[in-house]
Amino acid sequence: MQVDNLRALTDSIKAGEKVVLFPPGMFSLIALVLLLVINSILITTSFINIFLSETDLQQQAILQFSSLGISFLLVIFPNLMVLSGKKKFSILSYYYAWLLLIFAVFILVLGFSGLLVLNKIAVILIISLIVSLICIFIYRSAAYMLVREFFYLLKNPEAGE
Amino acid sequence: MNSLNSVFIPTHKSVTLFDAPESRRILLDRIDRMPGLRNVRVLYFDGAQIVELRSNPPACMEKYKTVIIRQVRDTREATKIQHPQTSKQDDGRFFSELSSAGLSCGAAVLSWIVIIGSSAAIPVSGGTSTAITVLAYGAATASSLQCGNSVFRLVNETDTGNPELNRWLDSQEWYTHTLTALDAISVAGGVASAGAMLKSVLQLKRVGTGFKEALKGLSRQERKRLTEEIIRANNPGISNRMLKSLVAVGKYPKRFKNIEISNSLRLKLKDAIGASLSFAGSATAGIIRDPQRIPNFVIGIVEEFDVY
Repeated sequence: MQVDNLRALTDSIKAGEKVVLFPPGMFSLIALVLLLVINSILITTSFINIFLSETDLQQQAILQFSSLGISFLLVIFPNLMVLSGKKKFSILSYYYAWLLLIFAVFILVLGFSGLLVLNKIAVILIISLIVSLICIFIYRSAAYMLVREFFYLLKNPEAGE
Repeated sequence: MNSLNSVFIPTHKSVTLFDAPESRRILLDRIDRMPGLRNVRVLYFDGAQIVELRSNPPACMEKYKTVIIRQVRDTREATKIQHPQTSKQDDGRFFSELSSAGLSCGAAVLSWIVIIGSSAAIPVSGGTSTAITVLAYGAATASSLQCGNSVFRLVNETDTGNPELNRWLDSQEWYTHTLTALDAISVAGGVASAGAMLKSVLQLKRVGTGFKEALKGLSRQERKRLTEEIIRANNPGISNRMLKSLVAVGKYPKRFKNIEISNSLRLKLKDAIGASLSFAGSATAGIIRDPQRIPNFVIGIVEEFDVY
């Protein structure tokens, strides 16, 4: 969909002539949010297993919950802002996806070079690596750009003119 | 037993269900009445830490015995402790966590669909949709975090994770309270959307039509009456004259289009499905299923012996 068409669509929604139940690209936004939340958990689990396996359960639990808090700050909140028309917040999710990717690669490289013992946790790290790549792909996809622009044009009165 | 000695903590900290002197006295009396268990050492294990309820007797005994009381979440866990060989084949916990994760993440997807879709449905449902959207924001956030938590628990139940972390978390009050709060937020979003749907059904009843017919399409006259009902619902106590003047100045349309009405109703249907999934998720692992969290116990006796 071209920008002019998108602008025409948001203008007609603003005028009350149309109701769009499934905005263009909405599933890319949902996929990005949930995959990043799940990926945070996978990375946290790997981190706990590799570096904190000797610590007590309380510290491990606190780390788990802090990862959910970080997910909220860097994934859920920015995408709720995108839905409010503030598209620049979405960059936080992108940087976060890169951060998770770099972390997964770093640990895997250390593991394969023999500096760390990964065992079965390598499987989770590889899954996490793939999920990070998918998230980056989604962020750069036309569908995500479309949904971001859609809400920007819909929620900002001056943007559609 | 040396390993137990190194990890037990003093009894003055309130961590067991037998901290009250009376309940501890009753427990120890009952144990003492059992043949061969008089004055034996009693330990309490809550899944994470060991508390000594009674230490070894000062007098020399031929053989030292220890009674260990372990708190467990449910009978399945008790079976797993009692019969480790058979329960190894039972992957019930994994599949329970898997279904819980599926429901939580499914509810999260639907919550996000609702909040994204409701932004575009504001022209029809007026202020109501905005209020529901705010609640849906909270519900989507809560269900996303629940999805993350379910995935964490699921990973813990696999070979790579630490199942003990799940047991320990379940025994912690702050964890159950946090999950209860997340459950409550997502259920509240569901209840609010169900209420909005009920309101829509009542509005449709007032204009003399059903939900199914409204999805198919209404006549011009019906749409006009429904539009007036919606304006009245969004502006309680509005007079006929005021209503007409609001339509005349273009604040509200004379009649909503068929597509607007059916799409708004479809959105409410989706919302209701999301709410039912939230309920199902809560019923599987949350407050609806387990409001009391009644403790279960496994009791074991350890006897020391010498080897020459």
